[in-house]
Amino acid sequence: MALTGLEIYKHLPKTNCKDCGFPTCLAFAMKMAAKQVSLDKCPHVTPEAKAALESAARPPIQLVTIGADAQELKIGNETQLYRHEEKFYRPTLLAVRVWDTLEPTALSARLEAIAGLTFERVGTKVGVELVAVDNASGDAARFESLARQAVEVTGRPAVLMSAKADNLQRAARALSGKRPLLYISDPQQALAAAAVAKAENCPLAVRAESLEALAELTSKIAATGLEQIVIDPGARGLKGTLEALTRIRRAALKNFRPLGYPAIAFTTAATPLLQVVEASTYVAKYAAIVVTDLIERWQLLPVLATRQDIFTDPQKPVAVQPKLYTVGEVGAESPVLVTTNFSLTYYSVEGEVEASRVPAYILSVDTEGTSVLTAWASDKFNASTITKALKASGIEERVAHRKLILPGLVAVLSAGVEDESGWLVQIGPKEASGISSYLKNQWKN
Amino acid sequence: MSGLRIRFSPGNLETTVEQGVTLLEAARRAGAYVGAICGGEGICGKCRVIVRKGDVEGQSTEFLTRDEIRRGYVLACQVYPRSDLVVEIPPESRLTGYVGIGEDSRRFRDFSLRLAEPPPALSPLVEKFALSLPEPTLDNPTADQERLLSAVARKRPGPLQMGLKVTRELPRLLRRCEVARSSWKWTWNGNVTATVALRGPVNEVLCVERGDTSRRNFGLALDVGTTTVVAHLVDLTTGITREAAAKYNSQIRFGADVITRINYARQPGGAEALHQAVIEDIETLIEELSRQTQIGRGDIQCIVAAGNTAMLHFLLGLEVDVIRLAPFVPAASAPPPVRAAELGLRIHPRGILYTMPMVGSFVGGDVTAGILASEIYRAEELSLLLDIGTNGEVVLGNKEFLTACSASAGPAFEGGSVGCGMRAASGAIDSLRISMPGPVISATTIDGQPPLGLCGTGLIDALAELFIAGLLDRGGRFQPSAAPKHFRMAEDDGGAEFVVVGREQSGSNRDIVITQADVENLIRTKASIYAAVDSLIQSVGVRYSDIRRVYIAGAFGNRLNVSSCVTIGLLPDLPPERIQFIGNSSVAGARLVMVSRAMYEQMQQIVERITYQDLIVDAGYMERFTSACFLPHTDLKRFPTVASHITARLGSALAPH
Amino acid sequence: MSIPEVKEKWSARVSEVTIGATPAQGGTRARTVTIGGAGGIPFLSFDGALPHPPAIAIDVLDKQPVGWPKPLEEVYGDVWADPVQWARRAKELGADLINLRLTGIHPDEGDWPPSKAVEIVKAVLEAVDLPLIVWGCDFPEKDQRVMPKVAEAAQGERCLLGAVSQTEYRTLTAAAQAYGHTLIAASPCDINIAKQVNILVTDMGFPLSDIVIYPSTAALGYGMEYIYSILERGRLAALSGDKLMAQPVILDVGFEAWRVKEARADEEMADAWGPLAYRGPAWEAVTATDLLQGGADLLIMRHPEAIRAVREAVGQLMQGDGK
Repeated sequence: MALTGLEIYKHLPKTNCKDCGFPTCLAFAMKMAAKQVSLDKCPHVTPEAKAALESAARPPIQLVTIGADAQELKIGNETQLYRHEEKFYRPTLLAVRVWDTLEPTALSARLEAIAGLTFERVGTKVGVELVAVDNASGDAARFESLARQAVEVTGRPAVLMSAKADNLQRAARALSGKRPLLYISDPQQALAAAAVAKAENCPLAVRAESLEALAELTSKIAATGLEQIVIDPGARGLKGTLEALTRIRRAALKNFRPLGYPAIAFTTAATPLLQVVEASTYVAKYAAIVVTDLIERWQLLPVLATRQDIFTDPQKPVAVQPKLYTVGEVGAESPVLVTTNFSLTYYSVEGEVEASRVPAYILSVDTEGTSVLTAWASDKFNASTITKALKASGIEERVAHRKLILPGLVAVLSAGVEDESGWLVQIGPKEASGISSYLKNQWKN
Repeated sequence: MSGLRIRFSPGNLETTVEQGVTLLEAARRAGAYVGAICGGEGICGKCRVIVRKGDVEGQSTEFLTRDEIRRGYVLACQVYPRSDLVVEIPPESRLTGYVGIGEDSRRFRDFSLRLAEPPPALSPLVEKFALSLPEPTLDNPTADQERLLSAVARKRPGPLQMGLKVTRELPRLLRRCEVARSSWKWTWNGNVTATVALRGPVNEVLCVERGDTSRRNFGLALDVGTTTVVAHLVDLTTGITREAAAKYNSQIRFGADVITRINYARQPGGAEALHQAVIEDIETLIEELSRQTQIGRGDIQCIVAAGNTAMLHFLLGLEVDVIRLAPFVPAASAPPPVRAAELGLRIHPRGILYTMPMVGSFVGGDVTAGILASEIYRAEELSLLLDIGTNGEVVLGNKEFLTACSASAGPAFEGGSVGCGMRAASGAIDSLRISMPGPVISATTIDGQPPLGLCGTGLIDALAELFIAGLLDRGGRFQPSAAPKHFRMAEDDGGAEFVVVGREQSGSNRDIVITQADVENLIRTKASIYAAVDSLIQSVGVRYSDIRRVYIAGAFGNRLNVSSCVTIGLLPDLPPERIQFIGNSSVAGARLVMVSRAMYEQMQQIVERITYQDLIVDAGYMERFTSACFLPHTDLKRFPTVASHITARLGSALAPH
Repeated sequence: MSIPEVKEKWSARVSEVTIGATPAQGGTRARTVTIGGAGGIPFLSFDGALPHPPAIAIDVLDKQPVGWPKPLEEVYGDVWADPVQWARRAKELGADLINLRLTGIHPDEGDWPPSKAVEIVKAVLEAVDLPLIVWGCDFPEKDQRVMPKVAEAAQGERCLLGAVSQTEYRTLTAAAQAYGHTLIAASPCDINIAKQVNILVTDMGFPLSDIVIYPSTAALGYGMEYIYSILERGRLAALSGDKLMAQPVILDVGFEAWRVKEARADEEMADAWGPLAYRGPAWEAVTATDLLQGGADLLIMRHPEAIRAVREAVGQLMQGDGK
């Protein structure tokens, strides 16, 4: 259970010494409660208090590192069942599978395709992080050779999947220093694989047929000193996997350590579209890694979009790119609306403009993702920022008029904007919901 | 064409202006007060005047009805004279300097007396010591200055300093010079009074006077509010307020809220104009207090000023723009004591002005004063202090911790942004009851004058009563069908408006109404304050039921009805005996500091202890605000008392949710 | 090793709403559709009973739509000029309900009189025996004139009428109550306002048990997570006993999904994102299934491929559940 600011405060020295960089001990405690600062910033905390606070703050899910150096990826450390309660910290990693039974040409083509699985969406680069190398042949040499090839061609860290600990050892050695995730599909060989993982300094994913068996297995492995564990509940199919992932997360958040590890899930549905649905569902519901056979761009794009959405920090305002947007077939006489770059604000404006069917320009001013009133109050939305955005947008070459529609909530800025920009300001409605009727009925050019 | 002559009545104030000057500016130049809450942006609709003679040009406005336009009403900030004019300022737009001063004085004095009374051991920041200095002899040739300082040090130990000016005067003060025909003679006169003021770590001898004047030691406790400036003239030998006076902050003419004024300050000469406005207000108050008490300005030795951070910056002439810009750092949070004369305040020429320390840009010296006055800093029990003004400040804490935040509530409870709203002045409806069926409305006004509008307490009552009577739904929408005769249709959009007082009974010859937009404004205002409280409570991790004391401070009418506040969801639904209205806690705190060095010390410690929380970065604030934008709140479980009212109205068949 | 019990102890469940009325119930529908009733987190049968799978309504407009992308035109292009034909097509495609939007009554879209709207609603009711959802045009003055007539004309059919909002709720609530329909309570992406609308409507005496919440909808990649969290929070509130948040939820998935770039951009994005013919339906399907995880009971959809995928996924997720 997370501690409140006041509960943390009770353990602090209460001297308001400011050595932590905050004005008071309570301010520090509240920042700590919000996880924005760690206890080690307080040089005067007593060992007893430290112990008490650290055990309360210990994340219930192990942090696991895959890959090395620039390719290091981390999963785990999640603390919530529902994203609105705080946030989901570490986006699910996607792994696209290749098999060592594939023909060389098909194999190369597949690896090349995986290498190209990055996308540009709403101004951000997203992509598949891992290549899952499946020792379907059971042959150690083929496995090793594919492991090398996969990592080299895709440029991504690998998940090495085999039923045999020995094969894993060989492939892991081949990728020495690259810290692949070893996945042992045979529970009987899990302990042997743990020894390999320990020796090769790799994380290990283990599978069992039930959660009970899995808990037993992880306890044994943890007893050998290996903490870098990923768990596969063994269930396959939407229903079983969703249930298992949920049970694992709930048990982990109840501080049940044997299931306090990041979970790995597999898509197995019969059709590609269903696998897309499956992968997206596991991303939303607690999988730390999803291994999939999907490889087409249209298949992976929605999964990546799901991940972007679900792992957005709900506490932080989401911004759109500040620039000039157009809705519909705009022309030289189309109206120009100005708003902020807080995504909810922008999208409400855009939605209403669209609904009005009046083609229009929307100028989104950089207000660091804050809404109209907040931006105004903190001086990010004022005559000069609006004028600057207006001049930089090139709108003056695109429209013949010089009329700007300002949000009604900041009507007070109108004189200043007129003075600085030379544009005539028209006061729009206070709420986005009024825009559609405003454009249809009141916009006159 | 030469200037245009503009005459304003009442008062026959006249000025000549060039073309292109607004009528509002002309009124300013003529010295005629016209209410202008938005600072002349044309968005508050308060600067209504009647053009009796002459022509103006300008924009039409939605704030005036067609009938009013026919009768010559214009908004002064939106029109420009085209000829000589005769202009009448109607009562609702007049803001004369002294309106309500008598009422305010009484009110503020009474409230402050209830707090921390009697004051702690008397040890004022400025003391006067009657001394008898032994005459120097050849055996005891100590210099005058050292002689005086050692006598003072016996009364007030610790480091002492004394300026050159006082030292220069000292020999002549200590000796009488008798001029004979060809020579003169010095006669020792060791009976003098030294005025000693605390300045930082040392005491300073401000002046030395002949004889024993130690009884004549006065100070001014000041609250520079965004809307009202209040002064207490305090006898520093007893710690008791001799007289109090209040007036409206003349900065209002530059805008009703802090942000508008800071914006105004950016204009050339703007900052100086704002600074001068406060200084003149304080001067006016000093003049008034001096006249009433027959206490000379020269006997006022010090001023202690409380106020929000922006107001104190304006007072001291500090840069204000930094306050509203991230990272919101004030120019100074604990400005050192200065000579009042440096600011143009005419008290004792060497008198000192002390400023209450501020926590940050949004938690000012008024809040620290309030914490001191309400004593929540030493309370065992968890206490909440709400200072409801244009900025709503909230403090939660006890002797263990103190945390504060500030919500931009807006001026609605002070009459701004509400069509028929007004400040707590003569003629303001300050309490209201609506009984059903009917509705039958009964109201009281300040000074019993014919009603001109509603002040904060009246508006709170109106909202609560309309809601309980079923004339507002929980979302704050009018339900005209429940009492059709009491609603009229707005001329512009046909929306319903509730008529509180018909034009026949009103003092302004127009209906006093509450519009749908007014209700929305009031709900937003109360919601922002409640949400601020909610944020603090959440962030600290306590429950409402843990709060044992709630102190409400503010100056929006003295008939604050606690149950109305709960009904609309401005205050949490706690047992009424836990809630106490304490009036102006800011001036009360300033007075405490002035009469007690221990309190002055305490004050510095309190500032160190306060943890400020910024609601702008609090992701949950907007959400708390939305859920509070309902009557009394979306979650009725928080307001069990109000739930029972609603059940009573809707009948048991429709138990509320 | 035994693992801790993780079943949540919920104190309440989502209310059930039945849409449509059979002849025995005073209507003319062949069957009714019941939504809601969930006693746990979506699709977790160990958590609580899940009596009804989410229902799917297919969008039908009263007149030919403007700007629908090619994948939709291929499915509906031959019937979309006629709402009756279109509704029949929707039934063929497996709709549980028909979602009829009255767009032509909007002052800017034809300004059709109430009589014409009534005529269309009656024709659709006559031609197709599925339960019916009817939305106004979201222009309050016009909806207030049209929707009471529609409600009257469909008396007895227990339609789902949309939508009431925080500011405009009296007329439609009164009409739904008078003629025995259920009601969509809309709110702009804000859980508090969702609750407020429910309070306002029930304060008029309308039964909570006949309300369906429309919390707004956002497409995958375009703010879907806001709605997702609103759904989760609403569901948690309902299961914890908040009666005012315990109504089933309707989402306008097709409308939102097909308006974003990923479901519209054709040739120009084919290389980067893959062909629109697959990408568009996938966008709609994933928007729907993601939001189902948040907690939704009735989806308005458009493309048959997306609908098929959602049905298949729901079928797998609810194996052994439901009636």
